[in-house]
Amino acid sequence: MAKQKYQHYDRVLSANDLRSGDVVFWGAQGWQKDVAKAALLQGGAPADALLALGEQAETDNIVVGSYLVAVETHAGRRSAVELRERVRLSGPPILNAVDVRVAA
Amino acid sequence: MYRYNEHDSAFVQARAAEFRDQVSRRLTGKLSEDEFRPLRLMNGLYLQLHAYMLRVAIPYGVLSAEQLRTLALLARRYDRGYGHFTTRQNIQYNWPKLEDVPDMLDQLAAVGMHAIQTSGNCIRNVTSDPFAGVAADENIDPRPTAELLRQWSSLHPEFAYLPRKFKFAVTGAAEDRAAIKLHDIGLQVKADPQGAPLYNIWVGGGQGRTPRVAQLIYNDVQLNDLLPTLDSMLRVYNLEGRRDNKYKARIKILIAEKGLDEYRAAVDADRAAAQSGAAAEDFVGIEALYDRIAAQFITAPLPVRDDRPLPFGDDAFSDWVRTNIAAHKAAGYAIVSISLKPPGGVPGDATDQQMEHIADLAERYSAGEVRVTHRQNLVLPHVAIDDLRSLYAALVEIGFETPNIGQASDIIACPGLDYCSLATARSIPVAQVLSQRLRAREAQDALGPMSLNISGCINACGHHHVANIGILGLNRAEKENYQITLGGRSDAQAVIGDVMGPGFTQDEVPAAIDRVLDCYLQQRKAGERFADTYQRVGKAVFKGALYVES
Repeated sequence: MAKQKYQHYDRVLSANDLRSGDVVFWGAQGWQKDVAKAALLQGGAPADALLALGEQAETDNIVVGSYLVAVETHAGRRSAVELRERVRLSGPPILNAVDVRVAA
Repeated sequence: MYRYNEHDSAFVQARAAEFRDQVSRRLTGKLSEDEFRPLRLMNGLYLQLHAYMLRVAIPYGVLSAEQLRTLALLARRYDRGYGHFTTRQNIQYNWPKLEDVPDMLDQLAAVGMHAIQTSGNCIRNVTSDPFAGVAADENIDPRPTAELLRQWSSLHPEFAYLPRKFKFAVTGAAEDRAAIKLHDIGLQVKADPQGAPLYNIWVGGGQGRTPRVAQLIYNDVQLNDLLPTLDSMLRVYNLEGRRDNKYKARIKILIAEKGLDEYRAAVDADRAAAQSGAAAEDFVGIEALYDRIAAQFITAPLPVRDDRPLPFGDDAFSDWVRTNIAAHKAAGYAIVSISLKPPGGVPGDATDQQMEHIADLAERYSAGEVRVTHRQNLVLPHVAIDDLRSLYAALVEIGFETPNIGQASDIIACPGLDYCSLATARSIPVAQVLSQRLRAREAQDALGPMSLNISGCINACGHHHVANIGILGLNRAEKENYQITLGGRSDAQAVIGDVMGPGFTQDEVPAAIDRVLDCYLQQRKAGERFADTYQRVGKAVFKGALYVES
């Protein structure tokens, strides 16, 4: 979860989809996987309403573990401020065993 | 191999059916996440950084070919075509969907497998020597003891909510390949003159943020005293272990705070009380049970073969024989380790097709049996020396012929921040870069046996504390930083490595490891391994070499 010290950053609401476990973000089209389509809470703005929306989605059994993620936008592309969230946004940036086999 | 009886099979299937109902109630909203979380964790299902993760138990690392095929099927049907073998000899699936997990558990149950006690503050999967029952240096087969512990600890009502998770390891060989001194309790089994097991019991080992080497608490414990002793050891820990701080809740902290002698006195007092009470009957008949279990581990006799030397030459096959083959107790046979550490690969990962190929090879060459090692490799325990060349050719076809068992590029790496929600840095990309570089140096510099382990956080699932070269990934101001430890060992001379000093960026790590290896090559004397050289030369020399360019 975005720490207190990151509250002056823009933030997006994230969670995991209950059924698939996928990383999802809240936006105008509902919960979906693309952080670029996530609703942006401006830096320093009150977060209560967005957090309440996440809690409601948990109560409604749509997502699990909603929280705010601090993000920055560079050259039109969003990235997370915190290391953990950068990896979470990008997915495992690794070759898994399947990729290694194909590359070989 | 040990086979579950009908009672065991019925129980595992009933447990899978129970979890199917729990998942159904979660998906329909009858259970909240707070209510469901402990239920899913009891069935090995975590919610990790990107997705759910299912951890499947492989008791003491022993698999049949049929079971390995089922693991391959799960990888293909419910995951992304691969699985990850762990340092507790288990397998993890990184991408299952919640709604698919009941089907996965049903298919596991059909081959006598499950995910019970792979999470939570209970007694976890018992680990053992991957060469158990076949190693030439073995005093006594540890598998019957490991199975006895599995039966005793499975769903033990008194020990289902311990202060923290609890790990056992068992070895019966001269060489400790199970790292017993880095476990909450480690058992070293010997044979008495009549061939019955005798146990040395070590307690209070572990890694994590407070690494400790276990201490010997009891010597030459007889079989009929084993479970009563362990029962009392767990009971004292359960009652007196700290529950106020999870970082101080392991038994190693209790031992450190109470002192071994005082802990032993408390255990002895508990045993005396138990023997005079109703619990006195709890362990009657253990010797007969042990004998029944041991009888199941008697493999169908291997065809008798003439003893013959291993086929050494100067080709790639011979390189593989030198590193990946261990001595079997039966004449004409060898133990084959299959490295899951190809250069640039993800340590411990295997695809569905690779798993199926290895299952085929196990049936063709190894009496249908496979082992998982805590170093995240696989083992075929019964291979005729005459079959080694054709087995090697088959491994080449699936990319698992890397000749690096026990070498620097045989890297242990936890999933790290690529998958784990607890991690503070990535482990896998570091391992991928290092394994390519180290394979080249192994061939060029004859580095000899050594261990290099990487953990993505201080919980130390990658065993960095006890590697000759350990790497710990940390988060420093939202950037990955890697701290290096040197001189650790996990064998019978287990020792915690020395922390060197300031960490390195991910890009700096390969050159830093090169400097450590250069120092080793400069300092080593004939016949020395890395651990020997480090022990003789000391921390200061290696530290000086590590930071010379910093």
